[in-house]
Amino acid sequence: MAAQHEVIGIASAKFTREQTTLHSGSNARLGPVVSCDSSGSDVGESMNRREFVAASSAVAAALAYRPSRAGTSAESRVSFDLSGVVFDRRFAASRAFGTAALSLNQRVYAIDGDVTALWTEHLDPLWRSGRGAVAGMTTPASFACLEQLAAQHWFRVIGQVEHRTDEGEVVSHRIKAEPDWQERLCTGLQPPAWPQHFAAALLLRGRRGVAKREVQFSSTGGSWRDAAHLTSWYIASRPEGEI
Amino acid sequence: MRVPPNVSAEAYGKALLEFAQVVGKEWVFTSDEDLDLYRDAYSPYLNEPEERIASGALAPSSTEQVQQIVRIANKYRIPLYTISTGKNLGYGGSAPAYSGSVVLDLKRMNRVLEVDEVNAYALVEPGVSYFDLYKYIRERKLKVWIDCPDPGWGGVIGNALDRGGGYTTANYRNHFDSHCGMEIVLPDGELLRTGMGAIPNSKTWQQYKSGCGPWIDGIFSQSNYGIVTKMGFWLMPEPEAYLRCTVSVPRYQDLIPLVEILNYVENSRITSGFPDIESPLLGYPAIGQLQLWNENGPPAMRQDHAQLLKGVRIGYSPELEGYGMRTGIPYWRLWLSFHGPQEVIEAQWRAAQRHFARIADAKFEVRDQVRFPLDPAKVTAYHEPELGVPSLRVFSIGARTPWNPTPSKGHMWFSPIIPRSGEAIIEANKVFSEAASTLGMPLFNTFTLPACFWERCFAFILATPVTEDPKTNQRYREGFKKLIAIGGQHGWGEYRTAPVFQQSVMDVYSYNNHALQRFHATLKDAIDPNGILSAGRYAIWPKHLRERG
Repeated sequence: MAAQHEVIGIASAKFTREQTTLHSGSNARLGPVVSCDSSGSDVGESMNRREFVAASSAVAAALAYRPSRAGTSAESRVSFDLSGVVFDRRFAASRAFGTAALSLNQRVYAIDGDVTALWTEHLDPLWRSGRGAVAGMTTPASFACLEQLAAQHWFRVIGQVEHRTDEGEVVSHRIKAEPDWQERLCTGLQPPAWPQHFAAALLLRGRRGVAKREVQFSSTGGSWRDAAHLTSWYIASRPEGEI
Repeated sequence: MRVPPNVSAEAYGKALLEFAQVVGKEWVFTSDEDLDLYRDAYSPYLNEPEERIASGALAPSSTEQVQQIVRIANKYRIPLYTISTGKNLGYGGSAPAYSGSVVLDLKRMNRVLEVDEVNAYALVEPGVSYFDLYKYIRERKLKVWIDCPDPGWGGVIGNALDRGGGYTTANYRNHFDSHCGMEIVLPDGELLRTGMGAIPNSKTWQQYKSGCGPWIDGIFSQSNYGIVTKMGFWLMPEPEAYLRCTVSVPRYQDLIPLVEILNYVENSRITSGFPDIESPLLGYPAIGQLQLWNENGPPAMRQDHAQLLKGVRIGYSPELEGYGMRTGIPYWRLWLSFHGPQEVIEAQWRAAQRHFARIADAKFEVRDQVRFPLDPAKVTAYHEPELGVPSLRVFSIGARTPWNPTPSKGHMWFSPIIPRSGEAIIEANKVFSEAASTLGMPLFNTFTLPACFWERCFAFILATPVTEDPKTNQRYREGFKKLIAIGGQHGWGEYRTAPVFQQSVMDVYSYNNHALQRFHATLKDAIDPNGILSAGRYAIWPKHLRERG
């Protein structure tokens, strides 16, 4: 049975909206996809059924990983505290990340590198409220811009993975996160599906702390060669209790 | 907890308690995670012990709170460092000039106090960004334009005080010059208004700049003599139409008459939009075309053309020039823009062509004709800031690509002011490309063309990369300082620079045994005897720190 999913697209630029419907073979209820780019293309073009089904499988595999640490409740591992997930539709790996987020019922924002509309229409109003974590996989330039904009509202990056593709299919992942979170990011990766893995592992927010550490490991890249230089990130508000 | 230099932990603790009573404890920041937000992401000392960092940060929401903070800082001798939105990356960001200072973050003071459509001005607080002001104007359908830098994420006041520039017409591109009236909290907490604002209930604060008597506004830009809490700006009435045209010329030496005529037509107001020079033959883009290059890569270039570029010296070879003449690829292309009634700008373009026609084989082309108001959906077809629209599109650069093989972690802007002439462009290229080559700095490919932000000079802007390798950064820092000195030897000085280079830059302004720097110090000692405000900004140090060297 095909489920219907609400997709919000912006036809040709940043300022008008129209509603369309994206059909998928999954029964999962999807959050909306919001196009924040100027490509003029339909949002459905960047997320097709094949990608969605593949993402769902990969995410399920990633979620199957259970840290053995005592005291980590199943609820805390599968609950999300996100207001949105950003992906760059120009890159297949980023699209896979966004599709994985969609399969996890997250609100997803599509960009084509430019974050102007994303910022003015969505993130600035959201972060002015003082709440609303956002994650994504984008180019380092888009990420650096969002990191600076987040600081405008005292939001900060609490988890980050730099992905670098060198010659061949080897992708190195440099992770900067609090140790518990780092463990989940590093473990259980099924190599060709690394974008979906990082979507699942990153979006399930880790325990935050000031003692961020860096770790680097490599995996085979599968078919994500256009992920030449992408960054996954998680931006959150000031720790609760401090504001 | 970090503690400011030369302040005891006990005194700092007391000060923090008093600051919290003023702004609320949630707006006093002391944790590492919070203070990381005030690091300069483009610091040339990134992750090195010399990186300039904050000991704390305070975010007041009103002028009265700023006054109280300043009085407490005086009481405990706490060094403050003022920022508005702290987005001047490449020129220092939010990090203090004097490491360990407490950042006085004015982002919460973000009210647009007034926009007058009839007289075309605005009065804003320091936390108002270009996006905020643009949004305010659009929501009210006011027919005025802002002039914004690119990217437009910064603060209107902060950018003007740092003497930033924009992309619309000559009257508005120089953001400090287009201001009108300030409100300032002085280092002792006193409140001052400049210009007509010194008259209680003034009716013309944002309409007449200088008031009567000495006009002191300039001393509050690129300085540390006060905290600007309100500032007025003149805005551009929305034009009826916009025309963007190009003048293309075929020979290397044509650059000289091209600039000479540009100066005449701009200073005569035949054209007043942002002039932009590119070199199709050298593969050097216009500023207005950069974002397209970032997104899509440069236009395709034939292999024989690319091969010829390897033989150029200071942007020239007779073979390349001959190739351009044969293939019709211009050596230089000047983009001109015109704003106003359709019949007026068409006449202006005709007059401009008449003047440029004195260059043999000059070719003219109309690129864009726009009527306002423009459908917002269509604005992305243009370099948005030239239409007064703030944008972040400059960051839409793709991933690692053949034309951008090694994205850097940031950059330091090296930006000397040079004369507005073709000869000066060529000379600056000769001097700085030779120096950069000797110093091993990757600043030049074939040639560099300056930016035309100002009416009577060029800003020659080069991005020095910041990398992840401390040794490379050290080499670039030392090279940067040598470039500053070399520029000074040729009579060129920077218009703006990051804190780590401000002393080197100000040392170039050395006429009569550094009379200017000595005057700055005299003012500092008189206005801020405890030296609490933004110590070291543009090499203005309070007496107690000067004495310690």
